[in-house]
Amino acid sequence: MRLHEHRARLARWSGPALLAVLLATRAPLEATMWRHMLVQLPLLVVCGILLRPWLRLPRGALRWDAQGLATLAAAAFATTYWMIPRALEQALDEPLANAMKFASLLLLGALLPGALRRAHIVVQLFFVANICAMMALAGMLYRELPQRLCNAYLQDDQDLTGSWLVGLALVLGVAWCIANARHFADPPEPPGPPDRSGG
Amino acid sequence: MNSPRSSSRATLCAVLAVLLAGTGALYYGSSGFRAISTEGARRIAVVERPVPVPLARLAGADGHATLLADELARDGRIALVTFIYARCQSVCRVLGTELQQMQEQIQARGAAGKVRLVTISFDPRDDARALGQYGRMMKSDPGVWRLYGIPDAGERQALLDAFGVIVVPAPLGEFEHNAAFHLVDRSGRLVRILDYTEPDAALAAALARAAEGA
Repeated sequence: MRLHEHRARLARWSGPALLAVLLATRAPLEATMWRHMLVQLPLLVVCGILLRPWLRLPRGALRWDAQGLATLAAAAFATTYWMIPRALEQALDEPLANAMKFASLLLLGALLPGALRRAHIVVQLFFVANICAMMALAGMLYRELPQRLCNAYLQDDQDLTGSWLVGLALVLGVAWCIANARHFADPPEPPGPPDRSGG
Repeated sequence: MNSPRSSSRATLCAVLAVLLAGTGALYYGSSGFRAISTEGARRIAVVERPVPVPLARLAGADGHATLLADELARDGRIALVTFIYARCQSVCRVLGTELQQMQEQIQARGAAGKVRLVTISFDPRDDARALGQYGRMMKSDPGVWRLYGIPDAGERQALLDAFGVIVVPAPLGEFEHNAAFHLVDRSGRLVRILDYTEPDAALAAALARAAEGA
């Protein structure tokens, strides 16, 4: 009983704690491109997920997000937007852009688990495949382009970020497949009349 | 309580709103779907809104100090401004060789009265001596190509900020920076930025600009 309470409290406070860490470590995380894009941004989404006990959806809000379609579409746009090198660099220079980065990804994290729960597996597959493909393509582009895409980050850093983006796309895709493995199993044979077609 | 129909209509509205907002954000983030890199966006922005040169005092390789804006205005030629640091072993080496060839081109075409090269070091370690040495190594002809430092750190940074040049310290005491040709017109405004890999295009643009005003 006590352990249970303890765990619940831990779960409740993990979100604010992570947010505090992310705010406090902004400078070191934003100092290199790979830490900025592949550590800070994903952790912001995770933080949004952990912050859910503190947030409550307004009554009737789910009506606007059948099958999680609105949230998943927003997820596709948010991931694309923050993979634009210029957008990432704007977050370095402009406080408003950085605030938008925090707000958009935290909100996305807060909405994502519910949206995935509501979404049919085919809907999920559509968006997950889309986002992963986009991520891998962006990663390859970062690696292939001979010029620097962000003026504030080194070329080697950009190459590394590209490789890791491709890696993250693979990991996300595989993780989604594992999480949904049960859907891929053959459906049980429906009991019916024996097959008489011969052969 | 809610019928499936009202739910699907609400969701359709929400998805449309997301599409509009998302497309708007991407349009904004990519300067109207024209640039994904900061450098690309900087080059577009300069063409649309020329940047006046900020107050900065130059210290030339010849040792005397002048205001950059005065220097550009008094001269009356179109300037191709480049930023370097004298110890550079990578991009500015390429840039230096290109500038050398451009200097020859300008002399060969007899365009030394129309276009000139201005190279500014962003490295505080580059004093008059270091710049003089660099200039001699590059065989710069002061009539065509001059080298300057900006001793005041605040003024130096203000110029880099105004032009959108970002200098990042790299390993081994090097710097990485967005190298380019900055076309500055007679009134001292940055009007165009051309890639450092396109010296011919930069020279052509400068000559075209010079012919415009003549």
